Amino acid sequence: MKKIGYIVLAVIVIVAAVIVATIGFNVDVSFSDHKEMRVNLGKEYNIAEVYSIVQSVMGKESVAVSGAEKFNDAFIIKAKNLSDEQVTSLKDKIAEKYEIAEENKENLATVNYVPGYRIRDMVEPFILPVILSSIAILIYIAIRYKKLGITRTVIVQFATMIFAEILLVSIYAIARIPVNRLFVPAMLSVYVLSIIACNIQLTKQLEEKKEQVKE
Amino acid sequence: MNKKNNTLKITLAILVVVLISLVSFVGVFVKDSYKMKNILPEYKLSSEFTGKKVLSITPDDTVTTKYYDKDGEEIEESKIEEGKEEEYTKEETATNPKNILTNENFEKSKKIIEKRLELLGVNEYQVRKNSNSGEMYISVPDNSYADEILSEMTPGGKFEIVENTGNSNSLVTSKDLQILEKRMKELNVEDYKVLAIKEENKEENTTQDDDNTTSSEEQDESASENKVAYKMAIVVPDSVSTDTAIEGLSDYVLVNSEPTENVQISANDVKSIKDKLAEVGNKNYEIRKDKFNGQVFVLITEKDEAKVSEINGIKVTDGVLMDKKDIKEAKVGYGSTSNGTAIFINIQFNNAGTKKIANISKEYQNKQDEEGTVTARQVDLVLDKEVLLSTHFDEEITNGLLQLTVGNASEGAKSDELKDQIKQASNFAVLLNTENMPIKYNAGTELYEQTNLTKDTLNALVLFVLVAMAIMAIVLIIKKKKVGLYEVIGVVGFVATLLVTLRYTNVTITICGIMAIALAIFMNYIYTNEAMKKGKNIKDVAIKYISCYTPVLIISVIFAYIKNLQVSSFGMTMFWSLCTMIVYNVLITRVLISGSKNK
Repeated sequence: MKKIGYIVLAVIVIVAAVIVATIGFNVDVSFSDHKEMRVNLGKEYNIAEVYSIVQSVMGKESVAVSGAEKFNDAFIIKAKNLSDEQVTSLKDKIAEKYEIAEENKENLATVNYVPGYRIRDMVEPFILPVILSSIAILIYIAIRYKKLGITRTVIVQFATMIFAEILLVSIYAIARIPVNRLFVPAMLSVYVLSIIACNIQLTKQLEEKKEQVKE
Repeated sequence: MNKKNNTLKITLAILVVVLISLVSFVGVFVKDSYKMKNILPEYKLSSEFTGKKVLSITPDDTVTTKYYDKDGEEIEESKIEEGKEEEYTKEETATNPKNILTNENFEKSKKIIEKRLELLGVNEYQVRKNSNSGEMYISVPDNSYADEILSEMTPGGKFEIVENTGNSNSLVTSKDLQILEKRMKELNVEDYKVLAIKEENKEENTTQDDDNTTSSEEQDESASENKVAYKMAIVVPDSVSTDTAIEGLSDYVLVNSEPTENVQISANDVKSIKDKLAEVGNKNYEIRKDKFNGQVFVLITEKDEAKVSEINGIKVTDGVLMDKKDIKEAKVGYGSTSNGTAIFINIQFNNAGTKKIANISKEYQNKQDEEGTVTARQVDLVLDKEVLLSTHFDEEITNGLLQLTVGNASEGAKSDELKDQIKQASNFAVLLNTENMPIKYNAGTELYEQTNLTKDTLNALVLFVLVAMAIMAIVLIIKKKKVGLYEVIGVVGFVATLLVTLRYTNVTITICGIMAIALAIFMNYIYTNEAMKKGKNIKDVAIKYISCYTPVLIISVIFAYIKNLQVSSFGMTMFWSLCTMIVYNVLITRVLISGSKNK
């Protein structure tokens, strides 16, 4: 049973590696290279209405709409690709919906190219603290569970931490989960949970060993 | 009796949980003027929940075009006749030449911007770089300092201490030589020489009565001053009259024979300088004479760098005495003076810089010039080619510490005024503490972007979580009955206590922080669940989970010390969650557990 489990996990990791090497991660539109259409409406709007207009033009393409400026009279439409036709169509529909005069339609929106926020930039602030805490934790594990064998416990903990992260990243790649602002918190959670799970398991083994010694 | 005591304890524990829950989820309202106000502090939320300011900066793509006629003289574009552009040489100088617009420099600029943001105290930012065009998008939290912070993203930051041109007199300039060359061509003179001479004029200062007469007594009292003037001496053949006018030149004299007295720089040296600098491409320069030590040197001007250091023993310099490479650190300080509060920047130089500043501060003091006048030998402090301050030194600086007063708040000034001045000084210090930008950037569009997590979205999320927790609670109670109920009460009480703690501990809540809260709730539930099972062996369970959760404590402590807000928010939230867990479990959960085992 265990062997089957390991084989399945290995297959998942390999498939994920192939996907990442070929098509990469599915990065959320706000974090990837994208085009932004900044619309200065000059009046209040309903973001749900705007979103439905955008979807009607963009179809299944991944888009994001967020408000801009403090007077709630502007918004930003983000999409990986925004053709000129789509921009014109959006302008027409928004102008129609919010009764914008024909002469103001031309200056209604500007389109800019916005570079992506790289995954490594998202992860970079966490690299040093994770390395430092991992080293400290491994030292703690080695001391706390020395009766179970220092090398074995350190390797088990290290492998658990690493493999849990690889598995999470593999799931992101295979399931095409958008890499967005939840990516790093998810990785952190898995990191912490893997450490806790490993510690609970090692504590259980230590208790069993103590009981064996008593007997 | 014991049973009664236990019942009382459990009832009290449940009442405490209810009270904390009401305080945490509803609030504590007191009357403030004519309305009710919640006295609990608000959660401190990051810009993920509140919105951010976004600035785009682009590499400066301006190109300065200069036109030169066949004589090499610069002509204004407006003076060129249409259709005759080909008769002129066009020279285009890009602010950012193509060879510096590389991905390497874009990346370097990005790192410098990130460093500036960190030094400005911004712990939550995003910098995006377009690898093709070098355009950057910088987002920072929207607060009262956002505009000021963003204004520090584009300056180049090139700081230099340079020689003040008032310390020397001009002898010959490259512009003079160009004008002269053109005029000599007009006069068909091929063989001419240029040198610089000194003329001393005695000026008499006399006082006159109202009727414009000077009495003999007054004449005796009049003082005479030696006035030194430097002129170009242009040696021309005898065929050229010495009265010939040269338009555009001043302080010159035409002579037919080469002067030998009061020569400041020989014709041979002037020619060598002209030829050598033309060869290396330094087009704009001045041959000057130091007022204090009498040395002649060549000053490269027009924002160019000196490409040779010496010509015929004459020093060639761009005037830069020290630059940012000599600075170790710059800090802002302020102190009381008789006029109010002075704000200053302490620039600590490194080893090489300490030696340089010692020499400069010794050299650039009040000195006697060649006219016998005691005057200050000055330096200019220059930032991005703009002179910030011209100053001299009163004494030698041997400790490598230069203190510059950059602002002053009067005695009666408000604290806001002082804060603003200190902020400005800090911004300047940040430019000194970071590298020079390799590319010149211009500020582009700036806008305020609202968060995607609107109130409606957050309310929907909270509702979803509450419904999910309610369903889980119902399942637990049905499955485990009394134990399940106590577990639910324990979890609810812990969540409420934790949320109140986070309000008072001033932790900034980010998405990572929320994840830490979720983890803490889960960790507490695991402990409570096992403790409920073990019952009387609660101490063993507690010891077991303290050792299991110690690594989490290690993570939280390390993370809490990192400057990045996402990281520190996770660390601080987890740390306070663990502290709350310990206190809550000792006071409340222990009672609930003992109650769950009583029949």
